[in-house]
Amino acid sequence: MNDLETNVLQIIGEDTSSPDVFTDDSTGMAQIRDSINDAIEEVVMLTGSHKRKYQLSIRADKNFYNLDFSDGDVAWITDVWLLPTGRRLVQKDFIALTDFNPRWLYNSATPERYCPIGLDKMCIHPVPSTSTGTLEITCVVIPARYTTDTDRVHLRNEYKWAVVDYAVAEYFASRGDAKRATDHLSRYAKRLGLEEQYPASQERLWRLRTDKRDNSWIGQSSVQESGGS
Amino acid sequence: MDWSEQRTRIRRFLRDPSGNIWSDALLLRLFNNAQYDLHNQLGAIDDVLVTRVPPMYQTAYLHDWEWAHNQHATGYPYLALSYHDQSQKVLCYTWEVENIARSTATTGDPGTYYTQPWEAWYVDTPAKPPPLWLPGQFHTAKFIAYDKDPLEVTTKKEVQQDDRTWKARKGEPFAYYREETLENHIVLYPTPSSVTWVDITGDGMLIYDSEDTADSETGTVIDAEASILSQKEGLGVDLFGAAANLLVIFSSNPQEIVFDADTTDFAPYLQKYIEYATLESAFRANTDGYAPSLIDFWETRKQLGYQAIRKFMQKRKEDRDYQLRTPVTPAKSTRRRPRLPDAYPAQD
Repeated sequence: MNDLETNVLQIIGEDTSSPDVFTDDSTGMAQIRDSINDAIEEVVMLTGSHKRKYQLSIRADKNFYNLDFSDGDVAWITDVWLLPTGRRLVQKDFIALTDFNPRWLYNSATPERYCPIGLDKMCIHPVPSTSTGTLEITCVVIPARYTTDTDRVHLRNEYKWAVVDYAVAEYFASRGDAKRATDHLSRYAKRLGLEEQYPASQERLWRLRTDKRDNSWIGQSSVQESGGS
Repeated sequence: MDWSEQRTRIRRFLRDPSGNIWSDALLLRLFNNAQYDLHNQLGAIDDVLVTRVPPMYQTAYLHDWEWAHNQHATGYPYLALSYHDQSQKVLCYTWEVENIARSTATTGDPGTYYTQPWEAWYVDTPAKPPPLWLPGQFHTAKFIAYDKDPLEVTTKKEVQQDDRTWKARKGEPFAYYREETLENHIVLYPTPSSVTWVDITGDGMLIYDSEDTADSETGTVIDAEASILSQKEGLGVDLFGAAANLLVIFSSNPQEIVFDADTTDFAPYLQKYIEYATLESAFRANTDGYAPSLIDFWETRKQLGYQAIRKFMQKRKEDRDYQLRTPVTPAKSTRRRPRLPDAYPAQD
């Protein structure tokens, strides 16, 4: 078991050296691994912390392309670089394309812009006139779920405890202990910066005010009070 | 993950692995309902498709009861001709209606009726404009082009107001309308005056290759097993080109899960949010497993997930360039200024 799984088992009270329920094999660890993988996916979805480059050879007269990573799923595209031209493609949507040129499907030249379609497709414009050139597409990629101890876990260290809290929350939820599950879920949400449903900050009343009695900006001034005898 | 795997995960949290409290059928219904919930949070699932023109429908039927007996789950059935409610018969021409009503049967139709839409281009004049099918989970169109020319959306009412001969009008399509939202088809206006006929074998565009597994719901991306060009290589294989066909970029509804091997349309990393909503609904159901504390927990988890999704949807636009402008401000140019080569002046 990796250190994430070890931490989870320690928190839920399982003996990590000789576990009873969550044995150190793929069957015994399935529930814990499922939860950890779910948490990793959500962390990457929120933070964009895992990026990979997708190299796509463009084809003449082809506008539409799939983005099919072998080891993960595309979350979003962060930049597209065209080689060998050396040009950054600008992200647009179809409204902008149609505004630019309603007959944009007829344009044929070196690509200048792209439109993401859904989660894993993209359209480039203008359509390439020749089958030369490669797009280097940098994407945030949700990593594939790890299945063995030795698989790499694509997670930054600062999020590891958030992931552990998440897995512990799901463990308690699976045991019907909603209170402990909620506690750990709250910790997970705080670590990730996800606000809870009723954040305390919403109950604060913020206002601007001046303190007109503060005369420090004009130097010391003493106000002598006339005193009566 | 397919439905059986997701169901196993859901049952784990329900602590009901054998289905003693929550049946598989109930969980399936709750799951499908939760898909629509997630779809509302996520917004549209976009996709792109090319529909060949003339369209190919798998079957045609006349009476409504026949629909259940045709291949509506795997293909596109076409409701042909007209059903006459008073006589409960299917009629072809308008004069038949008058004949049944014992009126003078004189009303002529503008053209010839057909039972398969592709026949509309075989006859001299079709009596009504042929429909073009859209995929079963079609929701709304983002961009539609016929023969690479964009089409405007219009309504049948607007078409009828401006054109008495709209039924038989032929020409270069510039608009489309959708008669109803139950049937996923659109009608081009005017009807294309000519189409390119497709051969199954030989040169030209293909419906499918004999070695390919094509289904009627795909167009641009077809699993061409015998070809090195497939969607797995990251290339969209336009076996149907956008030229002389209908290109549709659309947002789609999620497809309902039916069988254990079915997979939801959502990306794998979004599927867990459907499970959370399903769990909340399952605990909320009036069963022996009703648990208010767990309802609260799964509802909280679901709402956190939806927040995460909203943030995720915003992050998807991080590569956009934003520019404050008034109507007269020109759009930001994407053309680079000319620049001298890096090695200028030439080094000897």
